[in-house]
Amino acid sequence: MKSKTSCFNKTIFLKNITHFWPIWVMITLWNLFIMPFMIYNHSQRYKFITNLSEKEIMQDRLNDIMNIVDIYVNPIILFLFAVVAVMAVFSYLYHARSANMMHALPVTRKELFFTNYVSGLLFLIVPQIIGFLSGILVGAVCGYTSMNVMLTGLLFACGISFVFYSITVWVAMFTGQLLAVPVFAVILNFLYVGCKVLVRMLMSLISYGIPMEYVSGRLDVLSPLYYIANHVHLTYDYSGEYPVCTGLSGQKTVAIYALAAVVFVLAAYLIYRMRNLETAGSLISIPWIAPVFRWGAAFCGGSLLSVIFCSIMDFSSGKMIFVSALIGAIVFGAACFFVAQMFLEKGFRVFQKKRMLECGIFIAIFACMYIAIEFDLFGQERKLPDAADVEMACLDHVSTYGGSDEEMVEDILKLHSQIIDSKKEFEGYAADAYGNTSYLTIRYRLKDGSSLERAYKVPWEREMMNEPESVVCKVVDLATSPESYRKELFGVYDQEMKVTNCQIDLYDAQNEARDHVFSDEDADKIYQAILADLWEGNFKNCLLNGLFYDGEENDTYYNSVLIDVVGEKEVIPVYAYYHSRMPEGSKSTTANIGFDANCRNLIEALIETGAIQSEQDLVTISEWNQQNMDTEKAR
Amino acid sequence: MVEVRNLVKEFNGFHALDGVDMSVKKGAIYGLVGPNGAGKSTLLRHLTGIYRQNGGTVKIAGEEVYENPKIKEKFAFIPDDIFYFMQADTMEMKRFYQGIYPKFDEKMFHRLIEYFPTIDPKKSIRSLSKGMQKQVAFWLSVCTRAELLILDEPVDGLDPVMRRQIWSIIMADVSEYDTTVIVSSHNLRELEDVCDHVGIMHKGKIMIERSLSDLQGSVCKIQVAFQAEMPKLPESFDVLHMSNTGRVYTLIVKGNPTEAKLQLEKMHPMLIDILPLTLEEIFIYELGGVDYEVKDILF
Repeated sequence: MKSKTSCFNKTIFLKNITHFWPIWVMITLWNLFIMPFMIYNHSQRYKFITNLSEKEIMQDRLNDIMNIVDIYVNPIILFLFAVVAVMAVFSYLYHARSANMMHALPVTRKELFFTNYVSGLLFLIVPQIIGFLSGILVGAVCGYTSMNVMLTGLLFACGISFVFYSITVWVAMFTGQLLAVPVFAVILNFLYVGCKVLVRMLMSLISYGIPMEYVSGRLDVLSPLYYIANHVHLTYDYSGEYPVCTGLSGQKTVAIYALAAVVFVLAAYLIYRMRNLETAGSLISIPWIAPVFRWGAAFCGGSLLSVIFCSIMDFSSGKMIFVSALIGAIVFGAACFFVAQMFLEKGFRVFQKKRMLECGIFIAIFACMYIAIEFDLFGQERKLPDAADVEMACLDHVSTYGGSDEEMVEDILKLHSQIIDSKKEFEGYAADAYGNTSYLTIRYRLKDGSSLERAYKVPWEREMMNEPESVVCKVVDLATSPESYRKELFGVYDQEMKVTNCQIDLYDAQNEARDHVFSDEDADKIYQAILADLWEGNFKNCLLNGLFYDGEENDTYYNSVLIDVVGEKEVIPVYAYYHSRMPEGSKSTTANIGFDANCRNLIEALIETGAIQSEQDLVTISEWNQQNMDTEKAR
Repeated sequence: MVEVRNLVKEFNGFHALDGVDMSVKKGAIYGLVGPNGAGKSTLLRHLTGIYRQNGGTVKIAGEEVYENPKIKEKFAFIPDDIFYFMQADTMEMKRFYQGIYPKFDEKMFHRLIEYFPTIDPKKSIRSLSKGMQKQVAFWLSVCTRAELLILDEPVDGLDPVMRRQIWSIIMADVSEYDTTVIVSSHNLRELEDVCDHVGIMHKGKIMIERSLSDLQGSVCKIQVAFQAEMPKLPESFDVLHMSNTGRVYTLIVKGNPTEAKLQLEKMHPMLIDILPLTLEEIFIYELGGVDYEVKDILF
């Protein structure tokens, strides 16, 4: 009997269930494997564990469930299932025969759309519920009690599936080719971040100081798969002795996407109503999308290929890089434009006058964009934040140096401004095959939550240290300051730390190594000596050796002190602190400390604690290398 | 039953249908003929509500077809290339049609099994030959109890025995239930046997739409022989084609055959004979009049 409701047709629904059973069976098997099977499998190992307390076992079991749920809600897998489901239930739209047959039946497009939509969604949701219920059952039998975590997992899995499924249905309405559905779905899910990466690559290539590194932004939300994959994950509490999994993050993300997905479904339905069935088999089924596709393909393809072309050409001069990028953009942009048109027309006869003209307009705009980037018309090269807007500024070189105090921010801004003003000089130096250069990244975290990052290839020679106003000198001053080195060794917080372990590697005449482990009392002496040397600036020479490579001559000792410390507060590494808004760290850290003859306090402490008899027991890197070479020759 | 007015359909600037007017009375068997690319299949896809027109109206039983399931229940459509669900057998398709068409006649379905002895209802339809797939389509369509059957090249691919059988099923349906049939075909001899109305399509338009008897009465073939040469024919004579074998001339004349005969008799021919034109000949001569490309090949 035909269903009385106008949105749902029972016969078509049953047809979908019976004809596409391999899909829902496959998804069900996956969910059964993830939930009940893995829970059972994990539970078996507790039979062999005898040395854990009840509390520890409980925590372990919770971690088991968390890890299983993490796979259960894996966005990439849920996305793949969603795409397969969409391709199945809407497959009739992609062949003229099936499209004609289905639309000649006494059913409305509304009935067809919503019946097929619901069928596909149930292919995803019902197996998840089956997995969840069987997981609960097996979990209960195997002694797992964290049902609420599994329920959270189910809600996440259903929400994410709904989001990906709805978005893919929307995408599917724009094409008349079945195989274009997964391709377009992947493209859409990475379109924004992909374009951002492309533009970034392009700018880093032809613009001064723009780094290639991807910087996350609020608009990343326009790439759902990327965003969900980055925001839905397990969270951990690091405050205890070891990290403890506390749950799944990203509820808000999934909820907002789910709301947006409702809009996508309605939009998909409207497009379905508009869709002309004669487009079955065409790449694009909605006429106004064709130019968007053509221009988009030309822009993305042209940009990407021009960047690859430049990389292959490997020019070092800024001008040559720009010219090759521009030529690449024009040639590959035009090629991609016509290739896209060939896909649209399903043939090679695309070089009509109208298209040539359109391609000419595109190329002109595209070339203008390149020229604008090269001549800094967007102001991206000269962009400097206002000091008052900066929350924190730092430099990335060998390590990360910076801070949030006004003086530090001003210093970094001045240094940045100096680098911008030296564009011509620095680019010329970088193009010179004989000039040593080094990468320097400047990063600002702004008070509005955004960040600004620039990366430069700066001239880097030890002789430049003689000019106090040189960029090299300023960077070295910052990098070798006691405060910077303390942060690098023991984290950003200046706090009292307790030494838990300390040792030094020592070498005999044949460079054979042995470790000397200090007692608790001696370890503390060593720690205090390190701090004394640090504040006296005795590590400067040693740090300079790290900043400049001077061939074989290196008077830093090959020996290094390895020290494990525990703080009152978390020990947050400098890189994490300056690169993450909410960095996480544990309370302990290990510092590997290199030193040289200038570190008098440390050497005295080593002698006092009996680790070495005299300074002669220590071996410099140069000596170590020489000894190695002698041994090799003797052999 | 079917009323099409000024129907226009455009595909990327090409007018596949260019102002089609068509009307089919209830109980009629309407033959839609025309050369390849004339727009027959496109027209049928509009009649079945598959395509949305750019202009004009398509009405069945007084109502627009597009997105109108109430009207779509009234007809069954057998396209040129039929679609069946993957792995589906005849019984499964029957269940599907049963769910979709409220008037589906299951008893009839079982009664018709004997007419299709070569078809195993439990075998996947896609594994059957094209002809057998077509038989399944007829079997199911007839059982929908449709008031209107829309058939696109329906017997193409069927053997002569099965063709006859299919037509006899359709004719029985027409006589018993007053079913209307619209059929497009290239097989004009076959259409001539079954159709009572004909529409000739060319370049997206229906050029002629008449009952077959009217059509046959408006063009005739005259064989005439004179003692001497062929005299000059009167101005009113609309000769579509003329050929001769010796003194015997064959004229294809547009207009009333009796009047034509009377006029020719005034010229004292040795022999005069009026012959009816087949549908195929009418089709060729009519389209020959609009510079249809195959004219010269055929003569």
